[in-house]
Amino acid sequence: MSTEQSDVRRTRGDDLARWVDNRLRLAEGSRQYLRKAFPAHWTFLIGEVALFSLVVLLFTGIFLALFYTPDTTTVVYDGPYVPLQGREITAAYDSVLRLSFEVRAGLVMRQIHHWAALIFVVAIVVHMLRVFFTGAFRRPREINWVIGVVLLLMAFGAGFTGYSLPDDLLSGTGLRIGYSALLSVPFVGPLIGFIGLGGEYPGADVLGRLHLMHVLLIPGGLVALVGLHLAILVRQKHTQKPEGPARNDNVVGEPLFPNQSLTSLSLFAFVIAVLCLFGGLFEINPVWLYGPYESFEVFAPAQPDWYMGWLEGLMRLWPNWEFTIFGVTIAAVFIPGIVLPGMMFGVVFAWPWIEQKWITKDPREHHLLQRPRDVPVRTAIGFAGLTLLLVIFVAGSNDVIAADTRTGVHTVTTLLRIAVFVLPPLAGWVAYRVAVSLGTGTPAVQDDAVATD
Amino acid sequence: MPASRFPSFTRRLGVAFVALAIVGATNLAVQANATAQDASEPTNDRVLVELGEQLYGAHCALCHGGQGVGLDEPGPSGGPPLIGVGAASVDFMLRTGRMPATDQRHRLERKPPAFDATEREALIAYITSLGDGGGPAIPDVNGWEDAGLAAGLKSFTSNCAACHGPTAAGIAVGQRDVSPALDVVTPLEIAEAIRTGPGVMPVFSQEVMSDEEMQEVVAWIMDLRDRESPGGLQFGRSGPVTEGVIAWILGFGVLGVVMYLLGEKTGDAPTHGDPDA
Amino acid sequence: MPEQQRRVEEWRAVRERQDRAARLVAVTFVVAIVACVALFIVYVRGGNTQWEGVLLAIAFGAIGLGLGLWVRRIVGPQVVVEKRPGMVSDEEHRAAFEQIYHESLGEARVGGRRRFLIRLLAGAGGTLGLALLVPLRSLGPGPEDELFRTAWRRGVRLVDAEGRPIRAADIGRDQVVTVFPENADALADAQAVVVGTRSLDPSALPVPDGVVDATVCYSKICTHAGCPVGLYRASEGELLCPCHQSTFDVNKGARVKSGPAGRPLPQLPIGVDDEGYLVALSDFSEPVGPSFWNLTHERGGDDE
Repeated sequence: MSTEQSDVRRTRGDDLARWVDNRLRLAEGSRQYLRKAFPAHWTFLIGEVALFSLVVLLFTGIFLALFYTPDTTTVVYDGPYVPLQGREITAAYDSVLRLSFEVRAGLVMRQIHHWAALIFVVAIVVHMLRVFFTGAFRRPREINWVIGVVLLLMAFGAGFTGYSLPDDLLSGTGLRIGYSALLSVPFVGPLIGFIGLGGEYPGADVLGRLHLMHVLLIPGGLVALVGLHLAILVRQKHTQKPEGPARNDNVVGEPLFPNQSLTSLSLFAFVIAVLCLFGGLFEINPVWLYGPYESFEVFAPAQPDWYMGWLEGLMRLWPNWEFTIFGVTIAAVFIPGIVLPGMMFGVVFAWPWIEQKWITKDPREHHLLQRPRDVPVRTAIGFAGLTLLLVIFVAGSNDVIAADTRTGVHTVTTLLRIAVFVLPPLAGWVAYRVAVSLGTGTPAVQDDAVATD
Repeated sequence: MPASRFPSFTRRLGVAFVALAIVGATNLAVQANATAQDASEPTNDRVLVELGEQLYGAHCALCHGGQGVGLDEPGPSGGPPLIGVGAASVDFMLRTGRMPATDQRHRLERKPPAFDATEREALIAYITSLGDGGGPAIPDVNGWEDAGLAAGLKSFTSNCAACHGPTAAGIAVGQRDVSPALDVVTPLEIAEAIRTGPGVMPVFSQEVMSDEEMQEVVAWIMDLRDRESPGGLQFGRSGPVTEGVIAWILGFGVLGVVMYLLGEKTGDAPTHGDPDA
Repeated sequence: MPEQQRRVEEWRAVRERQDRAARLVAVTFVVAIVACVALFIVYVRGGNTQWEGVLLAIAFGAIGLGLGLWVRRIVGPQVVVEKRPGMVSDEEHRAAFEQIYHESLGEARVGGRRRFLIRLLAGAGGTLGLALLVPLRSLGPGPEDELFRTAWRRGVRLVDAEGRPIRAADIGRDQVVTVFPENADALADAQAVVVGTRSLDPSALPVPDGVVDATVCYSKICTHAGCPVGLYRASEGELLCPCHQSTFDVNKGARVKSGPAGRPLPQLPIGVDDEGYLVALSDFSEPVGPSFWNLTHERGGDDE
């Protein structure tokens, strides 16, 4: 009898499961999830890398938050780092120095946190590219695409506010630039800037407000939206590649338990391992070398963390056009700092609809992925966009490039300005030709979209 | 034996004469030495200046003009006037091999010095003798080892980091100029550069940066090259750009391999399985 | 018989592979344990960033490897196929929902005036939402004329970062010093840079009399995005901003030679007082820092 068997094999795990189920009635609803099919191509794991990086950020972040203070009052440094001894610095900078030099495991936690932030954004971007080039944003997944782009913006915000917290000379310079861009908005810029800072630059409250955003508001938003992102994914079920028995009306994959669970756990462990390795072996953001922020000091080269590099590049490339119409001055940084980024992200947000209305005119529901070669127009546009981004990123380091290649900074900038117009269409055209020549014209499996009204 | 042809008196006179000659000659020689020592400064100086003039004529006059008046020419051989430029400037340029340069349009670059110590002194002596002299003398850096690092960092950040970078790693400073990395310079060279402002570098005179402050800057720069990186490998301390490159290539590269090994590849999935199950 | 035997052989081979993999997995977990113990020791003995990172990496990496081997070699790839319903609800479900919804709405019993009440409710909610935003205004003051003025006034001495006043005679050729108003509080917008130029053209300046021989003073805040213009290319007479490479010609009124800045650096007119120290003659010639929308409007208050 089954009772006999279960008596023989009953473990403590069984007892616990029974205890929980006696209170929540989970067995019936959870049963279907145990063997739920998860399409398991390796490129579907990129999003998980982002998710696991976020978990590392949260845990290391809690540790850092226990030692950091956003206080801008002046203290005299008396720690073990000789070149700063006796120097007057903010309590915030001091707390980061203490964390790095006097707290056991402090420096490794700080460095793991910062490497995790960089890799978090890398993973989001690569995941976004995978979704874009395989058409996974098409109906019904437009909502998740929008949520994803919002997550990317929040990741930018988390990173920017985060690396500004130590109040060092490099990040403070970046804050000043961001503030100047905000100031340039016509009519409301100065008002919002002063309200945001609590007064004239630099404002005494700015670190406290950045701190609140960085440890509460943005992580809260990230966790909530990631939760929503995953819930929608579960509801809609993952897309899949059109191979084997996969069709638009089925899901072919590995079972959640044990396969997908073990795979995800393993990836989780590896992500943590890589981040810990980097955090221990690779120095990152050595704020003690940069010195504390002073509003009248600066050094070169001054670049932000990598994911802000495109903004930096726009600012360096855009010509010095500043004009006044009807008494309203359009500052030189307004267009590259506010207008262009807004337009670029506008296109990214709206892409599912842009493609649906003007390119494919296909309003149907899709669950099968496309090979990039089978959609040459989207692939070409994607490559053109990527190339544009790459040129702009490179422009953010135009002085570094000039020094390394022994060319004039002016020359490098001019070349990049030309490249902005020449390279993206070229890359798009090349991608188009390659896609067309690789593709056979018909996809591997007929993409029978799900019939909708 | 026949008797000497010279009578004994003459012989004695001859001996006395020879002795007198020897004494006299020695005396003269000693006196000559003495006068040479007394006048050694002007004589050596003059020797140095003459040597300097020769060297100048052979190596410098082509671009800097006769008597250091400078040559205002747009082409490769043109150079600023050297009158009143000061011993520190000449010493710096020669010591670091930046001079002699081959083309005034190219940026000054550190090279193995072309002159040895004596020749360098000679050129300094000559050039500082032109016109009324003047210009910064060779600074004294004795005692830099005891200067405060904290004060040095503060001064370095305020005055130097904008062009040399926080870790003095050498960066672009407009046009084609690049500030040099400061990992191989000597304390004297640092001090001379501060006081003379070579190339596009501004000048920091004693009124603006005292000797004490200057030594603190020297101490900081010299300490930088031995500074440990508690965080691990530093990749040339080149900042967020390098960190980003490492995150992408190394970080995501490794994780990409991990994902590839863990997940399915195309063609991996068994093609059996009833699609209508 | 041979068929059965072959299948038994196959089954044995599979089990053999799985057992080998299981042993490997066991090794990885043991490695993880050892690494953790070592981590404890490192921590107790004072900690070491590099060892902490490496040992953590070994521990997690070993677990990851063990789990990965488990799923790839022991469990092996499996396929499950499920049905995937379309995301559009069935007609009958939709109809049922709509029916219940309308019935419930009917129970709200507002009849033809429903729209009117709902609109009023929406109005209340909207204005309430706006009202709740009002406290945000308390976060800071408005700009008023702060952007148009700094702490500089006529007669205020120029001092360096240490508070020492600057003699006019100290600024020789090719020298550059960052200066602030003496005894002032808010320094961030007052920062200026005094330059000993080589060939100054005073006619290019907003205030041609506001120089002392070849010494001129400009705002240090870049008019592009606000970074301090910290680099001085002495032999070229160029102030260079490191952030986006704007270049200003100090000999010609700090006009923009190249780069993205939209206007020249404002000039601080300077003179010499009785004791030979540099003093300001007035506030800057223009608002300092990055441009903003009402830059050209008249500033409030006087600046003397």
